[in-house]
Amino acid sequence: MAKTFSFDGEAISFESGDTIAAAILRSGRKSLRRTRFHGEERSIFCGIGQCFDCIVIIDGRSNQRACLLRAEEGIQVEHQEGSGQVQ
Amino acid sequence: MPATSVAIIGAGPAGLSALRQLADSKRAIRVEVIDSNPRYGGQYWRHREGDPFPESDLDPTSHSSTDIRINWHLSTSVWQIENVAGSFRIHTASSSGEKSSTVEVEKIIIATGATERTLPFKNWTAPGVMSAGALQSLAKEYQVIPGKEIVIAGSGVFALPVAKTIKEVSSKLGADVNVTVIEAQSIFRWWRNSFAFLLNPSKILEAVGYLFFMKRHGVKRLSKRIVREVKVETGEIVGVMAVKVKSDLSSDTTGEMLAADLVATSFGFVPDMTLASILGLERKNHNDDAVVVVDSNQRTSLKGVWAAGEITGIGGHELAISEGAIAALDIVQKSSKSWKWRRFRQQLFARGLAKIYPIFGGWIESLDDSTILCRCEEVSVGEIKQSARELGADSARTAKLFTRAGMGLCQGRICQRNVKEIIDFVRKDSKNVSDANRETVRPIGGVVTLGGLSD
Repeated sequence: MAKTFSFDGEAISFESGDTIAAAILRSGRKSLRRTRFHGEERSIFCGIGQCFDCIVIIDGRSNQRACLLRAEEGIQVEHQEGSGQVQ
Repeated sequence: MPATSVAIIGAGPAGLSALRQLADSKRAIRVEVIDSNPRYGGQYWRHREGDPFPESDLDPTSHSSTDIRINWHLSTSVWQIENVAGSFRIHTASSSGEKSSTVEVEKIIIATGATERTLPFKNWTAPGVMSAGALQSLAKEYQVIPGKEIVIAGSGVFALPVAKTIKEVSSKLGADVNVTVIEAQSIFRWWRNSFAFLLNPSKILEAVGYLFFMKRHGVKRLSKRIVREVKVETGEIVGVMAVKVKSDLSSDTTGEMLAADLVATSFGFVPDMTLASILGLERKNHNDDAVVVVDSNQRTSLKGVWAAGEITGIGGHELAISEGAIAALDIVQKSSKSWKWRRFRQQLFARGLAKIYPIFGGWIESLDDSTILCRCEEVSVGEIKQSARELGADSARTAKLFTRAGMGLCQGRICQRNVKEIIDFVRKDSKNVSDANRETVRPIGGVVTLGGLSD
């Protein structure tokens, strides 16, 4: 059985060593979040933890960089809407 | 009891080279190696988990020395450094910013490397547009190529290894991927710096090797063009608009559409001066970048701190290796003569490259005012121009106060340089060194949560 985590409720399989962003992009999905002001879709940009464009919600914690953090079995990842705060 | 303690901040080519020399010195040294990535190797030696380290000579697991003690702090970023009575207290945080800790050392080798320079174009914020480094890492480290029709656009030599990686990895994955490289400058500029090449013959072979590879694998190459706009239809990238430019990157043509579903962009590299600023190291202007001033032994203006690699001037991994070795050999008081000769010719080559791929302000002229410049705070090019024209913004710092550009999560790491150049362009100022130096000061160098601090 491949290891998986969930992204907006859907199972994403990953290989050991994968970052969260790498696993999500491999699955064919593109967008990781939506911006605060214009509601634009965004995804990985710098790939090295500098630009904060790939931020997602991980187990309820917002603004987590998907390009730096490794995928782990069973974590709940969510597409971040705006600042990621509950309205 | 170790004779001394050294922190190496940044485990890329410069940092690992320094570590190697410290290990080979057979001195009793405690070394704290800190890097924000989950694995050592820096941006240059990114590799797949489980694969052998790309540069076996500098692979830390191959060190035979038992004299030094290495403490690894990976997935760790430094957010503050205190200089207390001749020793340094380095405050670090985990990638999530939720765990903070402190290491104390007598000496520091700072080798924080560089970040990629990108220039904005219309829709460069769309998913599927990324830095060439991000694409390189996805392909090389994770075997992920999120496109079939890939355009790598920008200026400088970095597009070549990225194109090569894409071709190699896609053929391994059995995917049919087209790659087009769009270079802003003319290839003939290389003749201007033949002397730098003559001193670095291996570089000629490397360049020729890449050109043959491109030809054999059908990588299309266009020069004297930049991407002005990415076309997006119902959320999908469908193409790029490439326009012909002069050597100052200005353009007066409408351009042509090329098919694309993934766009990688790169206009060279900018030294990451965040921690150098926190330490208050003396800086200077070098090829339009603010860099750390070092002496012939890589010592900085602050006693106990050495700097190596890209933060002393962009020069690539080989120069970084030489500088890292020289810094470490100075710490253990050994001769580094042979390294210094290497460093000399590598510096000459770096200067040559900087002349071949200059970035002049012409890109600003034809930029659409609605183009987003600050990605975090979603500030447009037009708003930046307006802050200079109407509100009196005269630097990236004042433009930030008026527009919020550079105030977001990335703290201006992506946009600050471009904001400064747009302000200068509007004001027709010449480049102001002290200005560039002041602007990269960030009192907190990384992400740390208040909860992380209180532990």
